Amino acid sequence: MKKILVIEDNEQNLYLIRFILQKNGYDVLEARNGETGVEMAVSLRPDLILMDIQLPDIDGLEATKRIRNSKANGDIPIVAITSYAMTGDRERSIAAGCTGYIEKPINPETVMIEIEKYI
Amino acid sequence: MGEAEKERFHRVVSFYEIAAKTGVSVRSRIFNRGINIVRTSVMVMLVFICCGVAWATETVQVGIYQNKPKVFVDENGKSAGIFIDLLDEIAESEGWNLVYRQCEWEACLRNLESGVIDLMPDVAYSDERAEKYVFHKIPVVESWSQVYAGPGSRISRMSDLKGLRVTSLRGSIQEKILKQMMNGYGCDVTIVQAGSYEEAFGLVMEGYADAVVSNRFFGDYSYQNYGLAKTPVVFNVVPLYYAATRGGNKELLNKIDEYLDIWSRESDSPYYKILYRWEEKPPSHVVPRYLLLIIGLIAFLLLFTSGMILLLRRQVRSRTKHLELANEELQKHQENLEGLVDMRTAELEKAKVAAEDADRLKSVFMASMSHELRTPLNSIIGFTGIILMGLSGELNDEQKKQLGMVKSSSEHLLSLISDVLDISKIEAGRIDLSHEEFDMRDIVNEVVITISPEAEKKDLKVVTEVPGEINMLSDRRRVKQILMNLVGNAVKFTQEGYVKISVGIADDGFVEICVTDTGIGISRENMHLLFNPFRQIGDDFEKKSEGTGLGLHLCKRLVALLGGKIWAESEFGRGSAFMFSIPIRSRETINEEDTGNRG
Repeated sequence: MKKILVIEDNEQNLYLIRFILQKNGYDVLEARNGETGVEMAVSLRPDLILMDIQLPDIDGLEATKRIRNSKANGDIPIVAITSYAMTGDRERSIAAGCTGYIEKPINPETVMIEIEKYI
Repeated sequence: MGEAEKERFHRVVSFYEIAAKTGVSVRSRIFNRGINIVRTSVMVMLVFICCGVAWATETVQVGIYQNKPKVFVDENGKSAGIFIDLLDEIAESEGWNLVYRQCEWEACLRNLESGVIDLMPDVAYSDERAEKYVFHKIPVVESWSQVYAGPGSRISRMSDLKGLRVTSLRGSIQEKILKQMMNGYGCDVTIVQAGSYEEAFGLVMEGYADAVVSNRFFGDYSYQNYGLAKTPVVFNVVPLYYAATRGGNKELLNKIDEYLDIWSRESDSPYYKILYRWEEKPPSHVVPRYLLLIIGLIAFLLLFTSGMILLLRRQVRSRTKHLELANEELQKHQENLEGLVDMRTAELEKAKVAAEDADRLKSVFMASMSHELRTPLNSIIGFTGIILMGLSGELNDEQKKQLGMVKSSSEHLLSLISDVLDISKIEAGRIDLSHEEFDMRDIVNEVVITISPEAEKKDLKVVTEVPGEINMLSDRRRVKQILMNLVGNAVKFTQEGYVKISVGIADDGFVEICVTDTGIGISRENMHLLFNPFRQIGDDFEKKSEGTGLGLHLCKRLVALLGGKIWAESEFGRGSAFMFSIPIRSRETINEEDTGNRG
């Protein structure tokens, strides 16, 4: 079973994503802040990371950079969850090393198609 | 000590002083009648006092008349002149008491003969006179007759006087001799007789005569005053003496000779001082007119300059004071102004900080709005979607319908929030455009995928007409937003038929996207309201569709930001066409291409 690490501080969003991912047969790992996310990414080596950009401690961009800088995890696909309203989030996330992005609000009907492009 | 003794003592002292000044040889002459200079001073004093007593009693009557500058009485009644001053000088030394008796020349001579007076000054020696009077031996001065010429007359020898008018004192010796001499030369001269020397000189000055002949004393003393010139023509040299009464005091004449002898050898003696006093004024007194003019001019200039300097200095001082005052005033104003400027700057600084704070707050607020409003909505939309998909269990039809309404309303609310935030960002000038490479076909496909569920519900066909790959450089998300908006509207307002998206490339580097529908269309009168904010076409409630009323307005603003334009065509009841054209390559990349950065 493929492991997907979801780094997201909002409980409801986390629940929603986990629900969708589990329904689609993925093993879901959860981190509620950036630091924990980076540690888990390095130690657990997930198959994909869903990274929220707005996080309470270090933001998703910084977390992405740290994961990319750890040799063992250099090529894990990281998909940024960006806010539709925040101009520049997508460009910045790609620049920080994200593989791709999905936009909020998450559409349950289409989100898996988008995620599975990167796995 | 009585008055007489005092006076006597004074005279003795004076005499002693004169004797001391004149030196040993002089003294020996003065005392040549047996007084030895090696005697004790006490003895000398005694002899002096004896002599002083003897001479002090001597009163000498002197005749005086008008013959300036030799002998005359001045305007104050004082006797003066060469002979008188000399006699005064001797009398002072000798202790004589001189009494001047004023008389006419002839009368004086008669008085001298009869013994009424003792001494006559200024008498020329002649054998005839020597029979009547006694003369001393050393002449006091020598006089001669001299010719003085009027202005413009050139006289350098006797013969030059030929045919001229010459004035002289009536009955004077000069007149007589001049006549004799001119007769001797065989020249004719017109003699003009004058009552006095002054008159004679005055006549020449006024031009009534060409020259004047006078004794050299008066002439030399006066000719400059009359503006006349001294000529080299002189004649009849006569020595002049004092004359005394025959049988009178012989000592008088001897003393006079003694003093003349001594004084004539001493250059600073009273004799020379007196002669100098009464002789011709030195020519240095004659200053040329032009020199006077120049001196005057210089003096005037100096005065004028000094005056000007003083004036200017005063003006400068007053100006300086003014300037200082003005400067002070200015400084005060400046300080005032600086204070004001400082105050204003501080105020502005405060206002700036406040404005920046407000601006930051606004940005933070916008970001918060964006995040905080969306997060719950995202949750609502997401879970509604899950439930509707049946992932949480089966739903009956009524539940599906109601949940569909929840989802639709949530999405509407989300788009409402997004539009409001977008428009406020545009109006605040805070919208950031990105420039990314993308294929226009992808945008069209994504929009089609997004809209398809909606279209399928209404059984509408969504048709696309894209010529091929269109490599865009623009703000991908904004382009998609615009197209999505137009397509969404088209689906919304079309009940049957199709919605078509066609893309074409214009010649001028623009891509033109056209969204056509077979919907209700727009009436002509409403066309101009299309792109205004908060406008929805249609006036009855039933026709009114869901929408923010901001969609087209936002599209217009976004298209303008991307450097393009948007417009619409419609036929009411048959359908509409919305078109927008934007640059295929945005400005930034055109510049990069221009500078060859593409590699």
